[in-house]
Amino acid sequence: MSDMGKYIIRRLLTGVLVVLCVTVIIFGIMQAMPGNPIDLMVDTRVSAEKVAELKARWGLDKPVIVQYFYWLGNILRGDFGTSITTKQEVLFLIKQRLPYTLMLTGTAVVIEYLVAVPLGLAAAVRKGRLMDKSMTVIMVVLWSMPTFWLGVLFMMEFAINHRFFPISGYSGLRSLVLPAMTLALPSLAQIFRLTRSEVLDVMEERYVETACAKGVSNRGVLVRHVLRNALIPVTVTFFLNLPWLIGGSVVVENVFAWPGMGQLLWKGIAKQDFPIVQGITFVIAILTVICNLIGDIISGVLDPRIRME
Amino acid sequence: MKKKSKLSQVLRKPLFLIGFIMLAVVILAALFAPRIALRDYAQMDLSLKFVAPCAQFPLGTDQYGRCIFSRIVYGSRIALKVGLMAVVIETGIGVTLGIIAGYYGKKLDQAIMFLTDMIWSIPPIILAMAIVLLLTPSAENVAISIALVTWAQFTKIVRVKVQAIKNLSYIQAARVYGESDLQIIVRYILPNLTSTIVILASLALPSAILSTTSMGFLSLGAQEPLPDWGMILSGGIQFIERAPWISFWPGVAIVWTVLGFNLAAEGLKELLDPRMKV
Amino acid sequence: MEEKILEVKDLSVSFDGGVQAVSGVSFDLRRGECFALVGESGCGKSTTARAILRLIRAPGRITGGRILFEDEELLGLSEGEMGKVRGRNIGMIFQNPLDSLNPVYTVGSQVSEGLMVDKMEKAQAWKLAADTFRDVKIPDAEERVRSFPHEISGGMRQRVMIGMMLCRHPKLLIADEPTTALDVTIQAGIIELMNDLRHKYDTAVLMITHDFGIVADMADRVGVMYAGQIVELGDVFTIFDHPLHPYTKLLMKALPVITKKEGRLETIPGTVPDLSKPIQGCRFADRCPDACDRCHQVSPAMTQVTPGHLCACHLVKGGEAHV
Repeated sequence: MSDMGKYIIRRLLTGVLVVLCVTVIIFGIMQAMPGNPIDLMVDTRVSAEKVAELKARWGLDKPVIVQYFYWLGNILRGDFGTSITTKQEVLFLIKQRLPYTLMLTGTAVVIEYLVAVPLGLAAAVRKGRLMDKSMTVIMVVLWSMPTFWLGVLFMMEFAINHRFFPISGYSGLRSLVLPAMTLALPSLAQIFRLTRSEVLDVMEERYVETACAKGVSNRGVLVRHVLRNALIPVTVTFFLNLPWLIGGSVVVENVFAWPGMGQLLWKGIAKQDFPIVQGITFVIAILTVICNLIGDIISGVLDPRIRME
Repeated sequence: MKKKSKLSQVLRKPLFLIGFIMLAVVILAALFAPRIALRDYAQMDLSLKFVAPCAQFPLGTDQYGRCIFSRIVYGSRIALKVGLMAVVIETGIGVTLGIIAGYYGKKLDQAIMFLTDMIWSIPPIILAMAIVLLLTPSAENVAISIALVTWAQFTKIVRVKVQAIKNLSYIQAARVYGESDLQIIVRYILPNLTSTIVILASLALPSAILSTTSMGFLSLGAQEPLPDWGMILSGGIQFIERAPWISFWPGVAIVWTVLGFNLAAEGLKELLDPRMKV
Repeated sequence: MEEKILEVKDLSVSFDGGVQAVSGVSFDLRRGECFALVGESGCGKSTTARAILRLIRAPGRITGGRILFEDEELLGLSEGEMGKVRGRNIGMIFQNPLDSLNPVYTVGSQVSEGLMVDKMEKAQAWKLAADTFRDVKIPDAEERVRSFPHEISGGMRQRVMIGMMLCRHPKLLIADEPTTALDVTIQAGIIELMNDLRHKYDTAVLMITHDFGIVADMADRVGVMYAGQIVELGDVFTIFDHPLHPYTKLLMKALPVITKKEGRLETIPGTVPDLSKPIQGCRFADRCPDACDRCHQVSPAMTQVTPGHLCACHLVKGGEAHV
């Protein structure tokens, strides 16, 4: 497995590089914002010495490159500054919110994968028949739905017409159902389509015919040979798409007043609370890079050819 | 001759036909908005707030007594304009970088590929939000920000295509004849990319419109009193128990439009290159 | 006469849109014998081979005929029963050994998968897989079982395929162009291996090929296929020394003869007829240098010229072609 070890280390280094570049982008955007961050961060009543002290702490009296490294050092220590609006530590706010976002996206991810993959397989096996055709239509409709509207529909039906679930906020696991479904359904369509087309492609492969010729049962061929190979690109795409899902959670959290980072981010943007925006963007970028890394590692485990590259 | 029969084949598939019809409705609504709308989209009347759908207000009114139907009709202009603008810009950036990466290869290719990987490492909505924040919220800036976070998919596919095309013998021959890189790209490579670009752009349009409405939903798009579909919808959520129609109908309009574009794009893909993987 | 283990009678396969890929093909195989189906690509020889194992996929369909394996009608079996015939009684190897092995499993596990279909314990199956690798002369068998297909050479992969299909000692092995995708230098080794093993295990072989060299090396009897039909059938010496059908003759001419100085390849002018339309008369008539009016109107039937030598041509009667 030393191949695998080298492969993981290589992916890890790329991940670190990407994170560094993301910090450059965030820093660039912060630099491009009108006014300097300190002026934005503190209100006018703060004394000049205090401002100077803050500037020194953030290295704002130094050249831009030096400023970046000061800033990077602070960010890497988890010091994202203090919220302009609530005066709380941004790190504290993120720590408070992160578990909720992870809970929401995690649940949605599990729903998405567990529903889309079996459905895609079933549709591929029944290609051209009623089940396949109707699933395909349903999926195009889902794919065309804005998450926020789906959320509103769920809210109307399952929280207002029938009071099955709480309408918004977080009050126990029952609150999770509607937001997670809302987040999962539209992106489920993509994984479904990909699974279906990959399964159909793999079915054409010669090695599937070999397995049939060996006398392996239909079920065995489908699971051990067809699905096993089709899952490689499906899983890679799945992890590549996670950023979209995390992005989608910003919208869904706002529909359902879910107490996660997305809502905090949106409030931060609406109120021009830059420390919050940079902190959350950084955390989400790290999450994304981790997701991609997991995707790479899983595809390396699933496909022995990748490790060799 | 053969092309014609293929077109009729595609048109015979009911889903595509439905898609084209749905699209036609949206485009007509956008073109003739002033005639179709019953009132001005911004006309308020506080004595008529939260009117349920009726003969006078087919889709009801909002908290300011504005006609939802008229706002949705006018909103189609914003959705189409922003979507088209975003796709034009992202196609431009994506295809240009894709051709450069594919044609020149080596260091340039690596640099561009690294850039696309980076773009994909930040959730697009969040990056778009940051960009809009930088540029100040407006419909045009939403289009720019969507374009800036989505061009990478064009680049990846165009690059692979160009890599395949540039080694064809007639392009090698053109190079031997001493034609410049630019001439080769414009005269030989671009024409070979047309159907790929058309398919990619047509598939990108519905998702651009969807992203537009998401930005609108977060109040980052066209600002009040402009009738952005996503914004109308988000504005209605707080009144959802009292006046569910405010949030319901803009969603119908969005799904209608996006679904129409999606179905039509599928049809176009079937027509131009059914085996292409996107 | 030896016992027949496979009889194909009047087999027809058609594809979506009415393409008759195989029409009315009949031949048989005796125990331990090697029968070669020869023809240009697209003549229906691979489709015939797949039809025997019922591996034809939609939109293709077996539309008629019988396939008897040890007097059992394969076309009448349920899918489950058919599964017990595949691999256990009839093995099959394919053209390209890279495509034919699943890239995500080690070659050993793919060999043992077949053994485990026969309810063999996993550990025993792996041990047998390693034994099989020695049998097909793969060096370092114990190491190689743990290799993935992409880690070994094309020739080794085809040895793995042969081992995989022969380790369960099937009575019949179908080989669909087993050497076509391999380097010429490796081909001979594979043919030699197949010859050794088929004698060792007394396995009958149905060899699908377009290469008369392989036919000469392995086959006992030959069927020449053209446009979905067998046009000439006989033992290998008769076919090589006294070909009767004009198509067979032309195919022989197309053989590159390396010993002669002017090793120019002769090609057969014209193209294979469109099988999606009904064809009147002999299917080879349009390309046949000797075709007469009757050839264009009446389809010739397979008739016995000498015992064991059959030919479908109007111009051939009683052992000699009368042109």
